[in-house]
Amino acid sequence: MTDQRIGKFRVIEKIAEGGMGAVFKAVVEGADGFEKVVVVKQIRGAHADEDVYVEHFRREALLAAKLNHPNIVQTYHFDKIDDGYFIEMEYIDGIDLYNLMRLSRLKDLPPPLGVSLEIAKQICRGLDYAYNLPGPDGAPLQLIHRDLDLRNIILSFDGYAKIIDFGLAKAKEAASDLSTLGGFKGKVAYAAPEQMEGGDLDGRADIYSLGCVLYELAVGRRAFDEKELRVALRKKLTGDYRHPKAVNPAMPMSLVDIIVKCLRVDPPDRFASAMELLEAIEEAEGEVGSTLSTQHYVRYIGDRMRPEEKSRIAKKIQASLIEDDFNATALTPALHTMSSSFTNAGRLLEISERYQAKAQRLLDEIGPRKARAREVAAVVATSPMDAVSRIEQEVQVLLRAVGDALKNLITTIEDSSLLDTLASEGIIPIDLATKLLTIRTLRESGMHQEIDATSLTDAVVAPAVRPDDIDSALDGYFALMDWYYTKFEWGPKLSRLYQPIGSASSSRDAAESTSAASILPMLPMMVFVEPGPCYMGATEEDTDAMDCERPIVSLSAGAYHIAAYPVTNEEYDVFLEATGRKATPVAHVPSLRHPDRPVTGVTYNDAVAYCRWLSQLTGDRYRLPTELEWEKAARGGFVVNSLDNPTPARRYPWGDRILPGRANMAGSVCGTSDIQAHPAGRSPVGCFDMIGNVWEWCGDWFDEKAYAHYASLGEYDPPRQGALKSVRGGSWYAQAYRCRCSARWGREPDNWDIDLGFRVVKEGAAT
Amino acid sequence: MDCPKCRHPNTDAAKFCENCGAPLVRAPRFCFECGLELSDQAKFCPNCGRRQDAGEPSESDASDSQHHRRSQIERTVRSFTERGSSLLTQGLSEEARAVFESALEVINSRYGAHADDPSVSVGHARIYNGIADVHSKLGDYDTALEWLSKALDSLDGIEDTQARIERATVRQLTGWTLFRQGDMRNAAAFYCYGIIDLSENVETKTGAMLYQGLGIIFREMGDYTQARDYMERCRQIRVKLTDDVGVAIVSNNLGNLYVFTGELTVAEEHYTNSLRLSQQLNDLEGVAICNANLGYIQYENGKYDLAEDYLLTAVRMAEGKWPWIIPTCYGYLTRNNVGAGRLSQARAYLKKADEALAGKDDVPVQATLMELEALLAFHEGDRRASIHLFDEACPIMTAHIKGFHSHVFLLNFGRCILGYVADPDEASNLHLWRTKASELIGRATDGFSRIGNRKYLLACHQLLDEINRAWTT
Repeated sequence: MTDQRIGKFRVIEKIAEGGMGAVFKAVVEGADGFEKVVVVKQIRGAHADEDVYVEHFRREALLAAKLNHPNIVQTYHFDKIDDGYFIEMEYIDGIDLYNLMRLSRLKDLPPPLGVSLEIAKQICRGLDYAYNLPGPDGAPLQLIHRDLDLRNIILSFDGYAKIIDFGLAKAKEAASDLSTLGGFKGKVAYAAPEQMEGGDLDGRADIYSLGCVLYELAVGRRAFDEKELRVALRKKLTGDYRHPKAVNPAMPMSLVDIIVKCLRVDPPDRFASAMELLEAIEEAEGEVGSTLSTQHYVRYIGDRMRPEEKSRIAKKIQASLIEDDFNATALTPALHTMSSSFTNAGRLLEISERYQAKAQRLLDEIGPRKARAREVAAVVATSPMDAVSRIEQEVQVLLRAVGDALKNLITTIEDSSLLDTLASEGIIPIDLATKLLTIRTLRESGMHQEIDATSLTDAVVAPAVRPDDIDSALDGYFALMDWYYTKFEWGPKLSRLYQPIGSASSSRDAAESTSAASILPMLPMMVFVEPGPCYMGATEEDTDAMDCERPIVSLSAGAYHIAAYPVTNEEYDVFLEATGRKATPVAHVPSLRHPDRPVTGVTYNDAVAYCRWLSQLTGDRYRLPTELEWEKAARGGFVVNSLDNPTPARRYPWGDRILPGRANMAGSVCGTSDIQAHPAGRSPVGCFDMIGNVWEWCGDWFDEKAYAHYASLGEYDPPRQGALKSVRGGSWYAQAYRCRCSARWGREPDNWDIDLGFRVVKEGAAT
Repeated sequence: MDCPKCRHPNTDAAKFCENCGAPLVRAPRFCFECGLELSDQAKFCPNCGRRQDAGEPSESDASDSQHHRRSQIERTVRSFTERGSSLLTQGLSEEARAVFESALEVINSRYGAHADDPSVSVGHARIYNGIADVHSKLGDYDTALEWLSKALDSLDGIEDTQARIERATVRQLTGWTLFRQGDMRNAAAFYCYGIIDLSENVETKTGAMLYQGLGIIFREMGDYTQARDYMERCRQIRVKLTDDVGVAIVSNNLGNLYVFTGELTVAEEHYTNSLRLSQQLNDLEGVAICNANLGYIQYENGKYDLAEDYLLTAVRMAEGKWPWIIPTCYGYLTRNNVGAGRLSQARAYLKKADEALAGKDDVPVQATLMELEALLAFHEGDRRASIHLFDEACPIMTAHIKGFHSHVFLLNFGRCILGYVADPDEASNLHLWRTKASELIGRATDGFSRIGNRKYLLACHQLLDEINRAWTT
């Protein structure tokens, strides 16, 4: 700490030395002993006409001081202290995007697409606010930033992206007009072409710059990297930049479209406003569906994490990056050809027929393997002591399969440049890529004829899976399975399959007591919902809502677990098999009977029987959710001051607006869809398909006036009797206005339908 | 026979009234006793000998067993509706409608007193369904849906097998009519409910129709995997029922799906099979369609002369009889001749396609012709005009067509842009064009990969590689 003082500021450290002057982190000490950390920016004026220069800054700083928004760094004062001029600003505990990108390259963890989009969204909000802030006459001030770049965006460790130096660019330009002869002073790489040409600017110039920023975040390099102004201008005017798809074929087309539109030469061809861009990004998010939060990422990159937390988050980031690739695989075929998953390695080579057979063989292997995994789970549940050896055996089988898959990948890639591309574009994990490249090179030089599958596997499966006891054996096995199946497009299915079944002993007792002990249930992935308040019902503004959804009330729910997905056909079929219960009426409609899609055609009584069966076998208490539990799972509880949940009473699980790709509703698919099909429709607590796909039975009797009753009583008191049971969430067949968090109606308990299913709740606190 | 409209006596052979021109449809007569269909003149039933001149059923009929009455109703209704349907397939809609309407009259006058008998309700439903079919074929979907909802109302609450099968039939037609109106969501739901009505009876003609209906919906949604599953099921049922007409139709549908996914050999097998069956059945419309489809396959195979033969055969057969086939055929012919490099011939075919389509409101085919115009302009050397034409067709194409054809359009558009900028005299804004091209081809690549068409996927990748190389140099 230094003792340097500038007026009322005690300087803590010098943060930067910029073109305008130095920037300090400082403390203001109030009379009451109150301390505030701020940033103090020195304005150095090596100009002939200093008064005019300073006057410009004063005016712009005054304007900037009016801006008060979570995504804009607050300007407090403009002061003359001794001989210098200073701007006092809010201090942000965070890191600017320039340094974020630098560090992310060092750590080899580029921002996942979801994080990049989140940052861009927040910047949009800031830009929109400044542009539309009313002036003294009530008309929008139309403030624009003019110098948006990586250094002017700070990401706080809370996950907020904040724009810095609003308006200063204008002051600089205006001032320099007086001293030097015109000329562009902004940053060549990010400025819009019309700005470089000295034309009139509006908000769309900022959109262009934000497009450059987004390009860099998502693609990993600058769109325009020329230092020379004229060269850069020419490139910008002809749109001469590497098309994102050409740099990264895996990028979803919707995101490519956004970047390309931001970077259009003519302002009218760009997004008309930051709000329009924000909407486009929200729509694109449906195809990205990352689950990693921005604050986790920035804290990790900025080294602001407890060591024990670090490795967990690093894994999460990695997973998220892989997930990006996977989403992209589903969306973009270029990736199919240059494919990240090894099954698709076959496809990559689909140009020649003979590789097809190999890919097919790999695919075929997955089927039986799954059945085997279930068997293992059964052994674990019934006789834990036998499990260790069994698992060890399975691990060996798996390891061999992984090794074979990798080996296959190497031997089938004939063009080494392709591997190069796979590696350099980060399509396959970097450690695997280098390993493969090395092996290839060795092979080409004739030094290493045999490929050792085990050594390949070790390169990828970092934690050695050498089981000593049942716990670590299970952990290792599940981790390995997880990795293997994620790679092979099994994704969420795996985790559902491998939830250890209850506690081993209790489930054994239960299993022995039933006649169908040999058939074990598939347990759904459960999400824990913390106890606490939440909203039920619709506001008066919601014109789609029916009377039975009103009024909106806030109620409190206890802790419970709820299934992340509706019960699937595959899960339900195990129940039918075990109990001999009659098949559903939709048995002859194959598109409704796909194993990964929600079961349909079940009555309330069927659903209750399913829960009872599950409870019996596991020793846990499963049942249908109450309406309160269902609605809380769909819209989340109260979370204040969190970016993840800006509006507590959300209309849809993802927010307040219908967005494409979030749910299977209003005939978008003409049937049920896979439970993994809409990752971006995830609710705040982590449930999928709450809205759309199928209506879901709840345990409560349906009463039109129930919500009014809760409101007057102030607590949850579901009807004791009735003729109808509540169903929630809308479906593929329901019209859009019925697919909302608060929408509800009732059906007779022996009804069934082509779009009616259920999900389960498990009672009790977190385990 | 006396004209039902003006009572003018006509000869028995006359099909239309000599006086007023109204169609003469002989209302069938049935024996009151055993339900056998009788000739106009018969006074006694040749089967059971009952006298037929008494207009109303005798008192003894009322005491007839319910079972007896049911079989009579069944037979009467079947006789009428079969005749109506057969008229309808021959394209004689007005005549068919007259038959259905007289069926309604006969049933109401004779069994009006037994309106609560389920067999009367089922009979009504079947006749309503027939009338709806007439309206649906004439393109009056709203009226058709009104009759269909009457049919469903009349079946409401009856749960015996016959009623369930009847309900499935009504739902199948409802689904089809909704599909024609563009309401995929409700169409899909009706088809599903229809299949559920049939359940274990799904291996019937109606079941096959329902599966085919869902197949077509998923095809239009661009989900070829699911579409194929349904079409295959439909085919299996029809093969089992030895319903050759049906097999011929579904084979064509399956062939289309395999063309879209690029499995041309399999597609050709299906088309050839369909052609063989249609020839055996002397179904000339079917033969014409098969020829058109086989022509397209040969175009995809690059056998342009063979393709030309097939397509011209299809045109010749369809002329004057099935005009709806013709614009598509000329479209294929244009594409084929562009492929073969015979531009003047292509131009001539495109003109004929335009003429054949004139005045018809078929947006998808219109969009296709715009694409062909653009493609042709490009090959004729007017590349600038070509790009403009593509640009104009693009929104129409992407809004109305999902799946294969729209991906092909995007690919062609992108390819023509690349061709355009390759010409150094024309190329300004090189990078803008290149960006646009890679956007279009990127989109096409996405599409072809989704449907798994490897041939076109490969073409896309070659173009993307080309762009990448151009960028790096």
